[in-house]
Amino acid sequence: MRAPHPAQIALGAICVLALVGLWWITTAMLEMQSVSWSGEEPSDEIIAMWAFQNLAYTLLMPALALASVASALGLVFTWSFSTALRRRSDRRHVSDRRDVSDRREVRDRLER
Amino acid sequence: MSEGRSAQDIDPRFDPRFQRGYVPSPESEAASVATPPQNVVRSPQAPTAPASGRIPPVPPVAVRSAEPAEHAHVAMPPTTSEIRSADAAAPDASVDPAVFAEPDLDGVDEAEERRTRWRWLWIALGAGVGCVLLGVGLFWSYASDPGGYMGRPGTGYDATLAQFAMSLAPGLVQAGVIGVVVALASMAIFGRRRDSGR
Repeated sequence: MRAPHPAQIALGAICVLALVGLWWITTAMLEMQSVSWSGEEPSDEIIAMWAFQNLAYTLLMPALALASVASALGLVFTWSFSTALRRRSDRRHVSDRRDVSDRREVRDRLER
Repeated sequence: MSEGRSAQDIDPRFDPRFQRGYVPSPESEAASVATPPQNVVRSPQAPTAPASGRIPPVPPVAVRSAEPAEHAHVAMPPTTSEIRSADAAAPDASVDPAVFAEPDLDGVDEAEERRTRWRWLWIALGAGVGCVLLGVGLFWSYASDPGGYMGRPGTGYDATLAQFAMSLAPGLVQAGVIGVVVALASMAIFGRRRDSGR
């Protein structure tokens, strides 16, 4: 089996990291739901928590889900493409060897 | 009208066998079968007979062959064994052996094209990463502003601009993610094609 291309390794890493990040954000959001505050104004920590929740719900979770699915699809596509390319290359290699031997035979005959 | 024509009235310009009054003899029958008469078929160049009555020579056209079918010469393509024996017997000296040499596939243009393609792929990858970082930064800059949560005027928080930026940021991030994935997949494909010698 052929070693994966570095770009394929990067795609796989993106897929895994996106899934791990999605899992981490989901658990963090569930923990944050239990946090409460009191007083007239929320503290800076509470505001940062809200900002993070806002960022996660609106931006990070869809983006990470998209990244995991898209990179998985890209991996499947590149893997099947490289397999098809290798098969075609093998067939061409056999055909080229036949052609070279035929050419050599004709060239030897002409030189004689 | 032609009822009274005799054998002397046979028109020499045409085949006598097909004219009224023709009496076949064994010699003439054999001769007509083996070699057709000179003036059996008129050539297209002489559509009409001259007025002098003298028949110009016409190239012979074979109407019928008396040769048996097994002796008739029919143009057939040479067989493979005939070609091989002919090639082995007399090699064609007019053919240059260099014609059969291996072609040189490593061109300068191909290398330049490949370099340009990879440069654009790296640029696309960088642009995708840039879009992701820009979107996250844009979103965070407004999401972390306390004015957006408190609703206090005079803090420098522009609600319209914040809404615009926070709507634009997800699109930027998702477009960047797609760009990164497509660029990486293209790199993998082109890298494989280069490895396989194309």
